[in-house]
Amino acid sequence: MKKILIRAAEIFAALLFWILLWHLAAKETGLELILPTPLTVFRRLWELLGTGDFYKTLGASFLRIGEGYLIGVAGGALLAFAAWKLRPVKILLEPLMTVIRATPVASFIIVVILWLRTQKEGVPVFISAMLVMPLVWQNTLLGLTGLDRDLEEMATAFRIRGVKRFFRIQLPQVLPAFFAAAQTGVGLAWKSGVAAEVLALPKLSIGDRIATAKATLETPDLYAWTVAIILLSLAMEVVFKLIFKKGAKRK
Amino acid sequence: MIELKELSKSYDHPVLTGITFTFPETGSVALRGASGSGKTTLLRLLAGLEKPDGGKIVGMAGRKVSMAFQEARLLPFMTLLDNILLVRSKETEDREEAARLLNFFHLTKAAPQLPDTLSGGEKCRASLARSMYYGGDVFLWDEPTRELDEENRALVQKAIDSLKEKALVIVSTHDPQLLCDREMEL
Repeated sequence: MKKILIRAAEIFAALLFWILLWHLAAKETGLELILPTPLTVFRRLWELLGTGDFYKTLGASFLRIGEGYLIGVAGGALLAFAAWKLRPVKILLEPLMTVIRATPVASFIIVVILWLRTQKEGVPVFISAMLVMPLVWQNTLLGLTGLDRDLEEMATAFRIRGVKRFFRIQLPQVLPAFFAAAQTGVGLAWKSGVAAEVLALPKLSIGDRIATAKATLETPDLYAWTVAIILLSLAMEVVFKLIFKKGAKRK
Repeated sequence: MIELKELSKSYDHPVLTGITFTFPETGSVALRGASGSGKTTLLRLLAGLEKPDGGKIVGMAGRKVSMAFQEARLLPFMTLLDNILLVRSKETEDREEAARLLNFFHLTKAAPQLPDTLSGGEKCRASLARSMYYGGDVFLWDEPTRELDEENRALVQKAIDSLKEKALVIVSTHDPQLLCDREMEL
């Protein structure tokens, strides 16, 4: 308990340091349009928190990005399994995943906007899924190809096969790598999803609010929405961490 | 009877060369020889985990083989009891039998523990308990008394003596105190 309190105090002190630095920089430059003070931003965030529109926007973005994230995680895991079982699938997927990983997110978003045209709502879903999928694919596949050979041989010797072998022996060995990727994927999905919204501008989206704030020079709004995204992303990462921890214990 | 006919196996160097031997239906056989003489390789060939380069093994088809590896090979994320129960199907699961074997090997207290918390000797005995729980016509035990004290070595001897009545027990060993019906020098 004491350790947790010390850690919390450390994090709080670090945050305070950076916010203070931000405040000093804002005061020094005096350019509210470019760098508003933290007080202005948090006041604006507080105002936003009091409006129904804020939660609707947040909820709509959350659903879109969450959908993309889940598709990415499930797709990455399934494709990793397929690549592990069937070498031709691995040979086919490897360059595709490398290309997806190497493509700049902005180019990717613009290409997807062109593909989906009027389906603006689909862009952040697609982008989040595409960014998360290679990460989960790679980690899960690494876990599957790195299965303990001694344990595999033990399973063969005792004729443990099929579903039982997969769920009781192989899957528990792969889960830590899968969970690590899925956890990292949460932040990635948010970042790429909001970036996609900023460019695709689907109705009722955080990205649309950020783009509007930029166009109308409502800088405190831009910062307030950014802070909201960061907080939500962190909260989601913590929630997923807890879920995965529980899952790892139950395996 | 299980016959080895001119059995050969090489890795980067020859390990077994032209081995001919006949194992009885039941009883115990000790494989003895210096380190690297091919004891483990022979057990692996008998278990079907590897194929011989030359010669053949006759009479293994259709037999249920139960192995105890030199390293315990327990699943690190499962309790000792679950590791034992794992090797049988749900239909043939027998918790009483597993408990009896754990008790026999003085592992009752360790049953709910994860393998990482066990000593080398406990892991070794757990591996033997798992092999006995799985059951079979042929038991292949690789260095079953390694890391064991006098008292536990006697337990292994007792286990071999009880199994050999109905099955063939082949053990590779450096332990001069471990007694078997027959010896095979490699």
